[in-house]
Amino acid sequence: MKDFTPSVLFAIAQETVGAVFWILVALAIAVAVGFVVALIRQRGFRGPAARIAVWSGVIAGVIAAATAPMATQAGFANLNGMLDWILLAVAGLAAMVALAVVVFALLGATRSAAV
Amino acid sequence: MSDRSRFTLDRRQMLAALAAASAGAVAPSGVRAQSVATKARIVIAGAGAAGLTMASRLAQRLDGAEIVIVDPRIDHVYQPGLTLVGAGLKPATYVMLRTGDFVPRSVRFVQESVAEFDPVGNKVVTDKGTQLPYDFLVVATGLVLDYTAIEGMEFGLIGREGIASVYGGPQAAEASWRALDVFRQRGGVGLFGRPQTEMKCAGAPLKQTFLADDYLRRSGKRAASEIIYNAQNDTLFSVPLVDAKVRELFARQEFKINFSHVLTRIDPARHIATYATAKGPVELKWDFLNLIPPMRAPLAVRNSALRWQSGPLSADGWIDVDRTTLRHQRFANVFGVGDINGVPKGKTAASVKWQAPVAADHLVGTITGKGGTERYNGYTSCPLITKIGQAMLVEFDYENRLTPSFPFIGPLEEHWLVWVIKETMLKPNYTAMLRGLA
Repeated sequence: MKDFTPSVLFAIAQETVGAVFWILVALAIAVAVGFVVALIRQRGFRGPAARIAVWSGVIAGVIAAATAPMATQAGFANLNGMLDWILLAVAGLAAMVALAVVVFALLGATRSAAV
Repeated sequence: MSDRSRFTLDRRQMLAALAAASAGAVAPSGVRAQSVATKARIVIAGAGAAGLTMASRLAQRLDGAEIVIVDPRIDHVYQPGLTLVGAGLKPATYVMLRTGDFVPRSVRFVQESVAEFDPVGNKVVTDKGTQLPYDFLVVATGLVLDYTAIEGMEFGLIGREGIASVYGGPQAAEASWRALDVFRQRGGVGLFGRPQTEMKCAGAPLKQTFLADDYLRRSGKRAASEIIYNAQNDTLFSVPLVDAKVRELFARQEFKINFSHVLTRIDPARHIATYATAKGPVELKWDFLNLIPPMRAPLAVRNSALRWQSGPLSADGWIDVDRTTLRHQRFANVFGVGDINGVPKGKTAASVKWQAPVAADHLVGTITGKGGTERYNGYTSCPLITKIGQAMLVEFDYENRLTPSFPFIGPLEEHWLVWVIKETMLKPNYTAMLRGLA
């Protein structure tokens, strides 16, 4: 497990995902742009778009945390110590943030702010 | 060259551009170092993990070199995944890759087998009679499995009569899973152990014991079963700190241990395994036998002047390289990488990852005349699976010191996190290594 420098992590990410890597990068950029547009149109992270984003994010986060061990062919009994619970929390948080960003980008970029 | 390799080169160029653009990116050793112009002819014997990684690294660093890689096989096996296949956790296709996808465009792939090494004459000769002269030779042949050294055993028995042996390859690993599947449903006596010779991944025999035990507990057959581990000497692992932990875990899981038991013959029809011990031969009956064959250097290496001529590593033909630079001790233009090396530690994929940049550094240093500076410290890594869903990240060096890569992961602690690393990150890390990118 020698040097996990940024370019090595990048190479590993590419190898993990394979041919669709650049498509995913393009999608991520599109979502980021959409998020910024949504922030502008909604005048901040607020309004119905933000509320729906947060709730759907929370639901996604809970589902991700609840199913993460099973997704790796393991179970909750295998979580041993702070390290594993942190990993679970990170998985849940990542899912929550990712879905909230996507939902807010989709809803917020395509409608005007409520006054 | 396959289309995939052309695509790979484009990705690599894009990767280099992106890495250069991102502020503060740290260059991994060798990958973006200055390229060296040369007309050197380099022969790489073997296109396994070590051979392909060396081909990629040398092709990246040397501009104009004539590099030839020799291997009779067009299939490449991701060997670290074999234990997962043998435990029914991944399909055989998980470990099956194609050599051609990883050979760099500028490297010539000769699909033949090296039959003779002539380090005095600076050439190798293949089984088809092709002569390949070289200025530098990289020996990366890996090792061979000697199943017939166990009387009564032959390759075709894997998967039958309760015999498992994942080392045999993807199909053998899948057949081994079928044998384990029967064992977990029926229970009985499981015999585990390892050969007396050097072997690749000395942790695998232990992992396979833990996995069988976990399956029996899950199926409710553990109480009706017995798990017997036959250690080839008086330890379970060569690193004392790890050995102590493994003994503790073996006691916790209620495994019976027989020390200094070496498997010498099997009777497949009667399911009787015979072990050589200090007190004479001992016979044990099996319902499940996890058989790991003795391992040695391939015949062409054993027959050559490259092997250790004396000392503890001379019996099985491993090559006589300097343990820190990986340069041959008698032929200065020969380097060894991977399982073929006669060094005290390091027959794992992780060892190849650390060895390749060192050997490449010294080879290139010889071309430039500036010499090499990198050193291999014996780094070996073993994600020791202790049950489905948990593993310990065991890493150590020549001095038997534990050398954790991640300071926050205790080396002798069982974690889900380490299991996740093994299941999700190690294969992409491996294929990135083959491309010289990790």
